Amino acid sequence: MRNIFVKAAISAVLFGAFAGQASAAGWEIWTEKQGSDQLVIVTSFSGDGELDEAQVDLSVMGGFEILEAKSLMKGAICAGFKDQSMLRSVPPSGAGSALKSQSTDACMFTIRVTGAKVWTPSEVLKANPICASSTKGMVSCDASMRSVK
Amino acid sequence: MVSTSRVINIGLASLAGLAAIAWQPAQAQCNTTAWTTVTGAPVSGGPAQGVRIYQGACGLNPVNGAGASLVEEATRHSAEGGGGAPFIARFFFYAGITGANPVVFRAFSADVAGTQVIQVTHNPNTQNVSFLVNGTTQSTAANSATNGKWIEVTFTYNASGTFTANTRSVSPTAVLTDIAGSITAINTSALTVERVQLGNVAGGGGTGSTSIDEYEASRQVGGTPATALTPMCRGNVNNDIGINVGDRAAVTAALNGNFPAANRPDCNEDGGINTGDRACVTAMLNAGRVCS
Repeated sequence: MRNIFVKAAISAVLFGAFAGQASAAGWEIWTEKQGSDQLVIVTSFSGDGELDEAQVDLSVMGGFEILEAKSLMKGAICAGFKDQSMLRSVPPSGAGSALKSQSTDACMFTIRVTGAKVWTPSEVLKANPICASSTKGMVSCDASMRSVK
Repeated sequence: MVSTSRVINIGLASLAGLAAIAWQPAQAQCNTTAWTTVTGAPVSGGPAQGVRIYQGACGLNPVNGAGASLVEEATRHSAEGGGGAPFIARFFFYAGITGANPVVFRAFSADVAGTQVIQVTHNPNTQNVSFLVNGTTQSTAANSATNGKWIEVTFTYNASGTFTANTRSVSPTAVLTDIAGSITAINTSALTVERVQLGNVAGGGGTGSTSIDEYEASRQVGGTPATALTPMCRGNVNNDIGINVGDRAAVTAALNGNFPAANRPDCNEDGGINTGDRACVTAMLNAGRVCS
């Protein structure tokens, strides 16, 4: 129950903070540490009216197990690759049309951190955002990490 | 490209400067002027001309059923200083002919006339590739070069040594799966590769058409030996550091008619540029595919 409650809380934070707002293109990575060894991660993307492709790969430092990788958006890729120590979020392709400017949750991951006894989310995760446009090619975009206390 | 040994990449296109203007609409002027000889009026062009492409904006569709239709390069390997040194080459052909076995590549021992040294044939019934070298024919395994797909052919020819070859194509039923084909080494004669032909080089027949693209050869110049050709990474459509959403965007750009010289938008290698290629990249992203 607690797990479900916390996940819902993270989503509520995201929707409360960004729903309906246009913002610069990029990713928000929301995290919440659960207990001593679990981390819940929600990835959320905002377009800029031009980008039609977005991706964020989260490198996980140290040992970890993937407990859940859940899509929050129909058609999104939400996958974990243990061999690459990576969690991947990819919204559906805009296929030539701009992705929504509204912040939209893409994926939720739950992992168990096994590589350290004492850690913080920012020590465990490193974000590599990738954005592209079918007219401009690769376009830079940001990723910021935020923790839910 | 390497500067020490001569790598020839005649992508069946003459697109000077196109690579430098990536993401601009490709004003492709496809032609065959880079080749030594053209026979049988093969059609150079891109999708707008009904010509299949593997990379860049241009490919070549040899005419089928009207005699030999080919392009030819006089490599003059011996004159370059290569002689009996290894001759490494790669090309792509589209397996689009049924009812006949198209010969898609030949090599000869002289820049004019000479003796046939290598012959590469696609067998649409068994869906594999046969290599004829020095009187010996070897074929890859059945169903290793399936109809309706681009087939990548790579070989190394050592005069007075051995000939080895490999093929690769995409599974017709599993877009993430590449099917590899190979033969065991064939002993070669002392003849060297001095001229190559690509196309429907034996005169054609059957129904459908083949296509040719991305012929590349590495061979010794002077005392510097040939180097292995850089592997191509399927799914890395924009030919950058790896497979990511930039490749989906590059497929979308190709659907809109933009074909930068370095791009390979036909991810599923079915001969067409369509939404299936974007789905192919998506499948690779979902599978965590990386370029090795």
